Amino acid sequence: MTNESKTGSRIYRYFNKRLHLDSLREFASRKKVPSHKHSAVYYTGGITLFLFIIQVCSGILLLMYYKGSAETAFESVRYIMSEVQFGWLIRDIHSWSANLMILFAFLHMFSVYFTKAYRFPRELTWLSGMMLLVLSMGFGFSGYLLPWNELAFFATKVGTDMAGAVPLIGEPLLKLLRGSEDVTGATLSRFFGIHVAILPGLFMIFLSFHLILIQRQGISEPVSWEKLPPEKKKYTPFFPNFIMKDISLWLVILAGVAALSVFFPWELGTKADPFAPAPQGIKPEWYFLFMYQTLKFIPAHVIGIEGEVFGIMAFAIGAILWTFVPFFDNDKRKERVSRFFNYAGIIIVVYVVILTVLGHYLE
Amino acid sequence: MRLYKLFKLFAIIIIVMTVHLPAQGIQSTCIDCHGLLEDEMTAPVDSFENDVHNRPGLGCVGCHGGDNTSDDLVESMSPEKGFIGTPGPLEIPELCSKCHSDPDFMKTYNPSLPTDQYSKYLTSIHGKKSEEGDKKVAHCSSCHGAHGIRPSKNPLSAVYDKNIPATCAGCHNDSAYMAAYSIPTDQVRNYKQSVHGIALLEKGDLGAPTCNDCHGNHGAIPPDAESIDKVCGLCHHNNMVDFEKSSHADYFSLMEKPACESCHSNHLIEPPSTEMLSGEEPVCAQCHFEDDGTGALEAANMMADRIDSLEAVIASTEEQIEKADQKGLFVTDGLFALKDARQKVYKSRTAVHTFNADTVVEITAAGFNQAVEARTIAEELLDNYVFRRKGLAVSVVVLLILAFSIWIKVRRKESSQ
Repeated sequence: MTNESKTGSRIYRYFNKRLHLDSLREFASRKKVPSHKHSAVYYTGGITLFLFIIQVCSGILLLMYYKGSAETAFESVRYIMSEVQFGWLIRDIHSWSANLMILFAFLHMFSVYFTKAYRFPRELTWLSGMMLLVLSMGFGFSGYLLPWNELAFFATKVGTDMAGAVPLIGEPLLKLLRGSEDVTGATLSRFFGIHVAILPGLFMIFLSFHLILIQRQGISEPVSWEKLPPEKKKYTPFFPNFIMKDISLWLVILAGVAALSVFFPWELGTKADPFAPAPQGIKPEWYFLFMYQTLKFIPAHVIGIEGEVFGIMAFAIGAILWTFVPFFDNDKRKERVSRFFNYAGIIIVVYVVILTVLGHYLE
Repeated sequence: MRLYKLFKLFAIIIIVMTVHLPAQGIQSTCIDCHGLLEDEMTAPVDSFENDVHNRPGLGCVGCHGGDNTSDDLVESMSPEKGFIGTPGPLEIPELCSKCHSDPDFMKTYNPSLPTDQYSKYLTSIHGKKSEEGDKKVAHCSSCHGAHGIRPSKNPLSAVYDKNIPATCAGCHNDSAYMAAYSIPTDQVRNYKQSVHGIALLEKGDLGAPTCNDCHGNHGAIPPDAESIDKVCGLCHHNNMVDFEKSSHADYFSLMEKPACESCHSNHLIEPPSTEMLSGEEPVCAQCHFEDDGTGALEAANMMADRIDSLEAVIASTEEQIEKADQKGLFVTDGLFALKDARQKVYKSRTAVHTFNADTVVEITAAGFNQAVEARTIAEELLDNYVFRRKGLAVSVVVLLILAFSIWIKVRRKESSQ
């Protein structure tokens, strides 16, 4: 045994006595990931987590120069982009990884949905995942306003207007979000606080819960495996095989984010002017586009209800049904594929994609 | 036919008895009867609906007199009741002034409206001719209309900024109508081709001057040689100040030459360019000639050359900045510097009115420095872009090698298991 490994084992023994690392090692060595032709979907969650880690790191760096008030926000972002060493890179990485994180969260959600991984005993994992998706969209919505530029200002106005149209709680919700009647400096301060304190706090709670559940329950096996004899089921050890593959993918993603930041940097635009007329073609972020475009297509009145209110209610009901799908699709025969939920899922995916594309291209 | 007339009369009587003006709640037999008549007899009723006087309830009798409550045709339009019929062109200004020159009365309807229109009108060419009995000259309703008068800020008003050239052209563009006055009739045609006309009528810039901004409206009169720079100076203030301080001001005054107009023309004012200083027919050559001992043409050439050079440097720098911008680089600082340089072009163009080449040289020199600063920023950005791409290439290669190595290691481990 070399001196080095002797030192290593001494350090290990030191911590093992205090933290009982042996039990953790034992747990890790037993952990395995099903290996089959759709195994790739298992990486979507890890990539989303990695993008979140990038968000936290780049966000902390931005926080050192960002000043969250109507008078200083735009100027501070401009300073970050023009004066701070690699400030442009940090801001672009933060913006790109935020968008990719939501994209991968959606992919992760749909892969879980179509592989039926939300079924017993993983209903709580699904629920916490849905909560994380909502919080991620909240991160996106609140972060979009922070540069305090014209587009962000009016997109936030449109977005909070949509929240204001929610029946019964719309008006108080609107004031709670904006901190005043209209989008002002008070809204910016509020969004800043939400973005860097409230949402990260909540996110960490749900993320920890989500990860603990995954560790406790293991990785879900495909529905078709229910009928397979044990000798035909293949597994990959989680440590170190799966986690190393995960890390190699993360490195590829990091390279992709860097390339996007260099070739497609985010514009800063012009500073928000609350008294200026809204520029043409104001749209929310891409992940809200399908809702935005749907609301645009809905007629002024539907069955006596205002079109916008009807649309928002329909989305709210749809979101509730989607969130609680593990409790509807809870057939005891686990091998059952449940075609209805598959078709419903496909229709929803097609709908979201088409409406997002239309929302992007239509005026 | 007689039966039809009887029916018409019957209808008038019935309507007079039952119909009211719903908007104002004013019963007006004038409107009731004229509304049933034809052509020019009913036209006032139609147009008066949108008249600014209709809204506060100032009806027909306010101008025409008479009794709008009587359904008796003779009584309602009797001179005893103050009926004056259709006022003639010479009577209209005084008639309108009864209300519009009375501040106490006007305060009750529109406190912000001036009450000096009539007194100004009397000082105008139109007013003076009218006083002399000329019925052809413009009076109130010539410009404002008679029964469809709208506030001047209303785009449908004949005196709305964009409509004023057409309103003035109604008379001033009509050579037959204007023949007796021996004045040109090409003003509006020229104005439409001018920098001001294009700005107002084609680009919709309501800040651009229209006829009344230079000539006045109610007190319309052509500015004379002495006052023309003051009129232009209302908008082009710095040009006026520079000119008045220059040696040219006294000479122009002595020669009774109108200041701005001598070089820029009046109605057909084209966008100013350095061609005016150094082109084939420079405006300076109207008075100066080579070797006249003043060095004026040389100075003009130098000023034009400096301004043109600065503009050329700005244009090429703009291309560099545009190039950097298209690559998604942060060009705001460069744009700021370029904006400052462009400001110097405007400033030097204004400084031409000092007729002092040194002043123009000094201003353009500052402009050159700012353009160079902008160019340096653009070049640094483009260099930085190359650096970014190289840096990206290196880091992507490192990351991919690392990712690939890990993947291979795992695969090997898996195959050995």
